[in-house]
Amino acid sequence: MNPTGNDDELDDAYRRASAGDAGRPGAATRSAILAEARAAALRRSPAANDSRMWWRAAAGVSVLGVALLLWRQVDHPLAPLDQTAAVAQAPAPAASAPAIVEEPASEAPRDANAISRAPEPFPANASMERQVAADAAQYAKKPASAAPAPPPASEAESRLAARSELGRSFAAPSLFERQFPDAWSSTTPPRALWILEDAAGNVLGSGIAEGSDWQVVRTNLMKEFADRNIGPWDIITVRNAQAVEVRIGVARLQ
Amino acid sequence: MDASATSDEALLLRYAGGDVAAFEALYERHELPLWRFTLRLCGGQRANAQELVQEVWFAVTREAPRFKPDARFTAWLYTIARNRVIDRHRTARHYASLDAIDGTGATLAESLADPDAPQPPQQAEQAEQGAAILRALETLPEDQREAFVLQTEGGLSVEEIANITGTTLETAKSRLRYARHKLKALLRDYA
Repeated sequence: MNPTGNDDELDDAYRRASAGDAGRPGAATRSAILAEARAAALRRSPAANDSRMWWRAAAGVSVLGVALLLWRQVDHPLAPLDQTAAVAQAPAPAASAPAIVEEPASEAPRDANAISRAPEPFPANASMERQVAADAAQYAKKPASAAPAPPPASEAESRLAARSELGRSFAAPSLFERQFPDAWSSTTPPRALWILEDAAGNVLGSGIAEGSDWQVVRTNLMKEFADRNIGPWDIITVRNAQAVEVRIGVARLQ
Repeated sequence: MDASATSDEALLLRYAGGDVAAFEALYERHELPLWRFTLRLCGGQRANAQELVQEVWFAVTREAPRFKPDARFTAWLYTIARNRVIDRHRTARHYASLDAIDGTGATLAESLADPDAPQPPQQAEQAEQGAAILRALETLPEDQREAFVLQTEGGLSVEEIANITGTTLETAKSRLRYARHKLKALLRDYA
């Protein structure tokens, strides 16, 4: 066959050469892709959506509760007394605290309108202020117990979430496989591993983060790289080839 | 079985509806062509290509519900791949790989189990010719190499190549024509 002849012969010669040279992606890449496909399908399943809806609803109730609390504490210190007059059907806040937890979502906008239309509140006095303070303290406990918010994300996790949009976290399994081949294939890998990069993204060192204590790892690294600052950890949770979750912290030497 | 039920597009829609086996079938079908496409655009650097194909397939799993079945899956897939490669080239300095492999023939040497072992003359000639083709491909301008690989690996039409690369039909055609012309000339010099 003469690849310098017609186009088809050239294309065939190229395809043969390419197939012989290229091989195929590693088994780990293949496993990571198929695992992600399963995980993505699961995330889209109705059960997962139900769970997300519940959390959204719970978060919404929490936000409304906190908003009402702040409004009462900061902008309208006398609102509880005024509110009982303006919203006749609402239970008295001090006497029936649990009802307040149920109220904010439906009553808060109506309260706000009522107050804005109402005449100026009564002049404050010491006993009123004490009552308001007691109410505020009581309400402050309720939203937290009625609708627990998810634990706040750490700064690193927030940054990681942002970085994942850039595709960085997708590169993590390959990085994992290259830097920790034993942990990658193990059924009992360490729970946390660390990687230190230079400013150009080259790996300077890596190891096991004992007890998942990133601060200890940082302290040890700072001793090793005296006079150099080490950036915050980006913590990535990935599954290894055995589908075991491992946390990988990546920091940069600055 | 109805061929349309196993088309790429039908498989992707089934996957978007939760059928993981459909994704696996789709992956089997396109794993190697996509890998070779990515590898060629990465200049033979396997570590980079490996990360990129993973990113591409992850994007497919994420974007599957937004796929419009009036488009061809292959064109969609290679659009994602091309965009990822461009992104990677832009940020290449941040992703310098420790185990990157020079693409000027070293990868072929790796693939040969034992280059010193005696080979039948025909096989040896084919291997040499193959190496020459891949080396010649590396010397092409990027847009010509891209058009050529989109067609030979991805099986895309000239029109699809024009759409993916954001050019006119005529430009895509001439890129392909120049690519083949140069490859043949380089191979003639080699011969």
